[in-house]
Amino acid sequence: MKRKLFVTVCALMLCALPLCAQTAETGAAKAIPESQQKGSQAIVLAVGVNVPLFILPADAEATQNNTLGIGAAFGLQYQYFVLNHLSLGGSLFGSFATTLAGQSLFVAPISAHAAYWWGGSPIEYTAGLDLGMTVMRLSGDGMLTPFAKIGGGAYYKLDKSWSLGGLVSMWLIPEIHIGEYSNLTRYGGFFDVSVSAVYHF
Amino acid sequence: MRKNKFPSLITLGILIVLSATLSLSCNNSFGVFHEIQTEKPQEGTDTFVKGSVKALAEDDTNYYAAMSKIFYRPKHTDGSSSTDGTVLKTWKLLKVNGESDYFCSGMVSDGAGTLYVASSAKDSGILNGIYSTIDAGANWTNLITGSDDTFSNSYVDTLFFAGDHLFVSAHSINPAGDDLYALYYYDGTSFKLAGSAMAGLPYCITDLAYDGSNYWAMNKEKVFVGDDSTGVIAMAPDTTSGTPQANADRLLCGLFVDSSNRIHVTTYDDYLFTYVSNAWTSRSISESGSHSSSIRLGKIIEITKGPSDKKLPRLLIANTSSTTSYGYYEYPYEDSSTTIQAVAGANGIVAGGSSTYNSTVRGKPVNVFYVSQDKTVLFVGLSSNDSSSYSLYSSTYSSAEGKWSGWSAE
Repeated sequence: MKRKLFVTVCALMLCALPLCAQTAETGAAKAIPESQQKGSQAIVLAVGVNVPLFILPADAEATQNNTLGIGAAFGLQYQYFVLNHLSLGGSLFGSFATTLAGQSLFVAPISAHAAYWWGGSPIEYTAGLDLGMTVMRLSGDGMLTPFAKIGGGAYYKLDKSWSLGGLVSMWLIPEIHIGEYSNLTRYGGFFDVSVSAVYHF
Repeated sequence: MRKNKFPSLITLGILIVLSATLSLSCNNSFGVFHEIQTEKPQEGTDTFVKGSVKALAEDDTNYYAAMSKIFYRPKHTDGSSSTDGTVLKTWKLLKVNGESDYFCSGMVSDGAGTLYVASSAKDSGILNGIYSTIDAGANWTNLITGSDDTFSNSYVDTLFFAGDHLFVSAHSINPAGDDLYALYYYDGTSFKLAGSAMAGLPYCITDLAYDGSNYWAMNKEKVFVGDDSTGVIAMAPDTTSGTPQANADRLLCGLFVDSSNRIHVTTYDDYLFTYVSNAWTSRSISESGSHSSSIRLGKIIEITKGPSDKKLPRLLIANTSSTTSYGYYEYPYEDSSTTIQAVAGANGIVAGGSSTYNSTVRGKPVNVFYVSQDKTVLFVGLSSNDSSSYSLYSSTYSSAEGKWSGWSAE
């Protein structure tokens, strides 16, 4: 129940981002912040929690609900502004979580990243999409699967180079198995909330 | 500032290299989310967390597990459950001859209600006594009488029970500082050497069994055999052609006599030796049918019960290789076409599904298997270095359902 409430609040915050953007756009029209101009670069660091939302389809052999606990997550991202406001780059993430029976799930996505930035003084906003692959390891065995992440965040600009804020995102992991093991195919969803720092250069 | 070219080629290169590296960890037959979905809670006794269970036994009322000390629980639980449905199993410390401050050097049961324990001083390792009890530890008898100095300069390593006799594997230290191992048996009044060849051995006797006419023992070097036809047990190195012997690649790891009185010996290099009709045969039982360096065989036990559509009986053979995550294999040895990999523990009939296997036994070395006298409760004693994982699990066979319950933490 607490988990659902937590996720709902975070999702509402994410939905509210565009409202903030409307206010921010008014100011942004005057001048594009230097950090969002074409040619700018940014490195994003994030640390947070990763909340498992669902694994679908349900398994007939399952006897328990919520077999995966809330995990720790971290991320490193590079972004290059190919246009004003629009950045492309790459991301490395990681997440550890413990299962009901004490096994460790390690998820390590690597992805291409596209983001749109707006606002700027003192708060800037971003919404982005990651597409890539992820390694999932469960106590030694694992799979390489597709990975997608969508989310956004808001940052307070501390100075010309540094911003500090938060990110919320949804991780989608289709675990695709082929051939005689296709019955093992599952789709996992995770909700990620992170504290994040951005270095602009 | 910000005038660099977008480093697309470098990024692309990194992505390709990383993707190639990551792809090496891909196992299409392993469903990560499926494993997580089907996990069951494991709520065992704290005693067995991050421990090592080295021997298991039973009498009419209790099961016993030996670590540095012995713990016991009633055979029949009271049926009480925790909130998640796990049956509670309460293990308690066993006092040996009234002492709770001891080191268990060996423990074995005879299958007829008697428990034997070798108790030593915790610090010095000096033997306190080899005790027996027929009333679940209420009363103890020291089998070492006052005049018996057999173990006065020895340290007991293990107890075995085979045929009608209790055996003791012990070692002493010679003046040069070398360990010299010996095998003794109890003849009802005192301990005797189990044959002149069973003293001064360079390696410890690690398994011993009786096939109905002969006693079989092994250390990591060779197999020993003998009988008691002359009224005393006299064992000596087996000289049968093809007998398992250590070499540069081979160590002997497990010996077991199955329900058909066949003797099985496993080796570190993936071979199963079987003695039947006065002859040894051997075969590699890896996936390819030839030797596999990633499979290291170990302790053995036989299960005779299981689903009617599965091949029975089958051996459970410990895997002593960390490379392949320890655990064990199930091997229907009467079907020579079956490779050991085809019935890895995760896919076997005992574990209760791969998810349960992977979250219980997998990844830990197997020290001992034990199946109850009625063949319906199977225990596995492990070494666990993980502070969140147990070293003792059991799986129970239900005749009504015709299947094993799957591993459950004790």
